[in-house]
Amino acid sequence: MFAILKKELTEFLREKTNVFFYLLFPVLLVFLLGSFLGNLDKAEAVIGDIQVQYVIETRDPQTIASVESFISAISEDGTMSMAKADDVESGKAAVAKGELSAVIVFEEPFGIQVWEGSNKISNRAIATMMKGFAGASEAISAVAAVSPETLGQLATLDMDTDHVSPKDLGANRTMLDYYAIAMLIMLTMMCALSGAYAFTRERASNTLNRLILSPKNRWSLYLQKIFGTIPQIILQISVMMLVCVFVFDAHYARTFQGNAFLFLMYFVLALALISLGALLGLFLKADPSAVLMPLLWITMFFGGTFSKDLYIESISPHMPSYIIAGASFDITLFGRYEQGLKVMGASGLLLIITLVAGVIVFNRMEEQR
Amino acid sequence: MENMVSVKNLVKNYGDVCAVDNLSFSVSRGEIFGLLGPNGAGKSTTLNVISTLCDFQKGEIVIDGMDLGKQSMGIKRIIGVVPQDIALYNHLSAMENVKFFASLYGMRGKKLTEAATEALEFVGLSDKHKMKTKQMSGGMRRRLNIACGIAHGPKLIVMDEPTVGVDAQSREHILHSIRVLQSRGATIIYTSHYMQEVEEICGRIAIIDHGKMIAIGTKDELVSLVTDIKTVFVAVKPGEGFRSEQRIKDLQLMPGVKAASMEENVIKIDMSIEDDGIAKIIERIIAMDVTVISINSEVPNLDTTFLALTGHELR
Repeated sequence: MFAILKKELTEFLREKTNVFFYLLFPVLLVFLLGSFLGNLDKAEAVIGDIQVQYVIETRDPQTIASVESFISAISEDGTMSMAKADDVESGKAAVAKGELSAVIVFEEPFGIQVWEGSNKISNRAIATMMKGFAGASEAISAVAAVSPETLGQLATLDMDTDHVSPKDLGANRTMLDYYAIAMLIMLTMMCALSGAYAFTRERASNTLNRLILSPKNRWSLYLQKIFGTIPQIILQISVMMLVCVFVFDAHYARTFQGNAFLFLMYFVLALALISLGALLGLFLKADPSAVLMPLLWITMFFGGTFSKDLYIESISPHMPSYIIAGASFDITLFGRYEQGLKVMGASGLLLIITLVAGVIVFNRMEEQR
Repeated sequence: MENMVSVKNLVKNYGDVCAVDNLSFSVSRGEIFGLLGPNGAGKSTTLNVISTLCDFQKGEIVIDGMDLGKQSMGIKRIIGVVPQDIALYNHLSAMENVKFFASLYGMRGKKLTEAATEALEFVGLSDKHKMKTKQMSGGMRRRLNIACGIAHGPKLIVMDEPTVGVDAQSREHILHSIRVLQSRGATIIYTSHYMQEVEEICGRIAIIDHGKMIAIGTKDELVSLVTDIKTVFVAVKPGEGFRSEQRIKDLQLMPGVKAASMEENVIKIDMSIEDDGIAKIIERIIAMDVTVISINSEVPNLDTTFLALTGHELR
């Protein structure tokens, strides 16, 4: 086992195209996509430009106080520019002309109306804030109705501390973090190609016959070829994660446990895809990249690997890359492992099935011409 | 002598095509056995079956006392194969290639390094042990291909056209190496398109065509199957008293001479292939008032024998 493992790793590292495509290229993409596309979609950069006017139409003093407190907090934070409108109609006209991002009308308790403009990012930010405010107001009112003394306790809480927690779970994430995951997916998907080459290259260099001629069982040879790629997988995933974190300052999971789980999930997935690729490689006479590359790129393209905004309702959620991305973000953003366990389970099953099928096919193969 | 390889009634089909048809032969221990045949004759298929690379439909193959049908793993351990197509890893060095293939035969550590070093020395590549295969010349790659097939010390070595595409120097080195392997006790089955090579190194030769055995034996035995005549050409400068017609008639009457003629100062004599009376004939010619300029002998070789037995058409 060690001889084949050593040979596989040596060949992998000495092949310049491998080093580029499986190690450097994905890392470079993280940097390029994360930096350039990140600037286009950076929420902080846009939120400061949002100009909103508001009208308070309620006479309830408690609501007026909470609305004014909310507006004051937003204005101090600088996230949104809030100004009192003379009247709703003139505000609407300004929105229509593009002079304003939106007009907001605070009505009776928890009623908020928003007349928004055409900037989707601004609209999304305003809607999120208003929903948050409405939800929080409703919750506070409910608590006040049932247990007024609790409100007093809430007031003594260190609100900054509470705010840090959700930020770490995602509020401060950047596009670099998104592509750190997306390119990890791409890297793993490309393992199918690497697996296919495992046998087609042996066949092309005529060394497959030499392996078959050796006094080793076919099944043992096949498994050694597959498991011989383990150091390569570990190297690929490690380089990717370490460079993203330590060089590009990207973030994966918050905890070591979360990152270890993420690593393990991608490791099992990569091994399964190598095994799947190797099985296909036993049949392929053509260059595997000509067959597999289009499939992999379509899967990744529609699965949102290259852009999070590319989402097609009836296609994207079914793409493996989308499912894997979902599991990854569950782990890294929310510390949830259920989806990751499912991905790992499915990968393990795929690994076993393809290994068994590969061994059977390889065992029946005659000499390679 | 005890047989190293015994093939009896071997049949190998690829679908409806019969590649080897009831082939039988044996190879003695320590022998270099040549396998000849035109393209598509079934040589490589026969070698592939013997070297356990592919299965066969009928027949019995015993190698070193082991039945190939039942003890293929044991046979794999004692066979070394030098394939026709160079089978090397381009990104590995010469030493790494040899060590990798030898390690598949269970060699480890110091023994492995020694065996690989010896194999590289044997093929004259010890000074290139660090060189990557992709940087090597065709001849060097051929020699490394041999080293990878013999490093584990096989008793039986199967060589499928090991000298294809190499220069004369590398070819000579390879042929010398094969003789050395034989002197060390290895049995070798050898195929080549170069008849001269086969003539030079093989003790016995089998000629197969359409998967069937056409002829088997030593080179002389094979040649005698197609002709029993050798021709001697003597170029002369006639003296003033030389009378060609009379002298040629005298030559025709000599023992062993089957025919004699003269054309443009070249005397042509056909004689029995087994006759060794050429010296007496030359003495007689010298005494004929002529100056002998050159003597050439045309003995039917394996090339002409092969063509006579298999036909001239290319496939």
